[in-house]
Amino acid sequence: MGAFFEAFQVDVWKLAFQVINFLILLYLLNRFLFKPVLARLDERSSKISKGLEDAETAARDRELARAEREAAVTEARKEASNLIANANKIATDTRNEILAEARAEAEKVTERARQEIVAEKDRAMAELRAQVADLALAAAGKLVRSEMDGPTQRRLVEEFLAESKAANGKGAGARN
Amino acid sequence: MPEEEGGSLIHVAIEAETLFKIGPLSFTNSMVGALLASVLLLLAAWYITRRSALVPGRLQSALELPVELMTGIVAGSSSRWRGYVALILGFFLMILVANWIGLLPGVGTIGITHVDEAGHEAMIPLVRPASADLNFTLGLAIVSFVMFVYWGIKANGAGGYVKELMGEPLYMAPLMLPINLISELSRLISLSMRLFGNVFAGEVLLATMIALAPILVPAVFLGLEALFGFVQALVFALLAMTYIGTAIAEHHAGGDHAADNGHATDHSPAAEAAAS
Amino acid sequence: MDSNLAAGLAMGLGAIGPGIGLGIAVSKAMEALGRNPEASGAIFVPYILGIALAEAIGIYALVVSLLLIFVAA
Repeated sequence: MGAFFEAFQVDVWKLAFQVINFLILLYLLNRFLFKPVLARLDERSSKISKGLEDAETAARDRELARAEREAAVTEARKEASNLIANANKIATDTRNEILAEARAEAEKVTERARQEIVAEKDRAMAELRAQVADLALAAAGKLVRSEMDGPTQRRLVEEFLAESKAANGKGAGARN
Repeated sequence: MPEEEGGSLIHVAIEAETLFKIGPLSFTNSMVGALLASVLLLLAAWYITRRSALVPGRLQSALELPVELMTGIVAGSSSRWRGYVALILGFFLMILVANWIGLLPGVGTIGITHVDEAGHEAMIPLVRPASADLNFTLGLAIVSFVMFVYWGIKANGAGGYVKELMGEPLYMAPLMLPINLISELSRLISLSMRLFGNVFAGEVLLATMIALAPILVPAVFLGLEALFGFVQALVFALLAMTYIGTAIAEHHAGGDHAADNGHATDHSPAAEAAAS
Repeated sequence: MDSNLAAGLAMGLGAIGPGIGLGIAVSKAMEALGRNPEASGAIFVPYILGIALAEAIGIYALVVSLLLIFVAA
């Protein structure tokens, strides 16, 4: 061992010089280099991680906003199509209703017209009948004035008229 | 030794040569290298921290790069990395600069002429890369050895540390204790000899190449030596880191022991208590 | 002269083992890296430690040969 160290010229003093030199250097480097640089590295890495975090948050927010927007658009589209469908339905309903109403109205008008016609006809018939009775009376009066007194003749004529009215009414009902 | 290679073109002394003596301390050219490396490192530190810009310039970030690289590696090694990161960074930077000083022009070639007692004239280089001197590498290895033993004792207690040295079944202690002691000591030797051997061999290689083909060829080997200097600094720092990390690790975690000292993982109650 | 020969032999023979070991270590590391490039950070430190330990054997050979040249001479 002695020869070994002898060969490499190792001695305690040189060893001590190197060790002390290294320790002093280590102290100075630690004081003036490692501590500031480590602090700066820490600061930088915390800043970078914060930046990354921020970017991540922003990306997540953006994603969220995009999803929200998409949802809103989908919602709006759905609503619009709903509205259109509703409107279509309402329009169809309204049209059907109007058509039905119109048809009903038309029917009613036709009915009323028919009733009026019937009523008119009846009235005209009645009027006609009265006039015919009067005319017949007048004619018959003029014709038989000489041989019949008033009350007897009148009763006979009215009897006849009632008979004929019954026959006529039957005939009119059948015709209707 | 100088007698053997006096006539040769290739002159790399295995030991650092003495420039002058102060009392019992022979001031060698590798000490000049160590001081030069220290001064360069302090200058770089001053340059980096002069203005504390959060967004560094190009030169500043280039100088910060090794610090950041090592910090990243050390931070990944253990949860208690802040305790020893400065030591590992110091090892790495000091060895890196000490290695690369050997590549600077003029480092092996500028020197003073020295006439020894026998009348031989020899040129003594003024600067020798510090890591090509066993004193320097052994000194650093001793520092790291003391630190990892200190941390081992601090983490497990002195009794726990001794127990770990004695091995798991107590009756095997007479066999295991010397083995473990040697394995602990061999870390010291292997750390120092690896660095010294690599850098010294690199110096010899460069000197040989320069002697054989002075132009162009050495450039290739200079690049190679720059790479080796970096790798060796990294290796020393990482090994020291692993040793310290193992020493302070919780021992039931296990399986993390450095591969060259495969002694049994300690499951003693004392170690468990100290670790938890 | 004998010790110089011994030094050469020590270095040359002693470099065989580390050479093979380094080759295996590097090839396996490259294989792992090729298979899973994202793991480069996790591979790096054990890789460096492994090649350092393999290389240490070569350095021992170097030390022995240096001792043979400078001490045993």
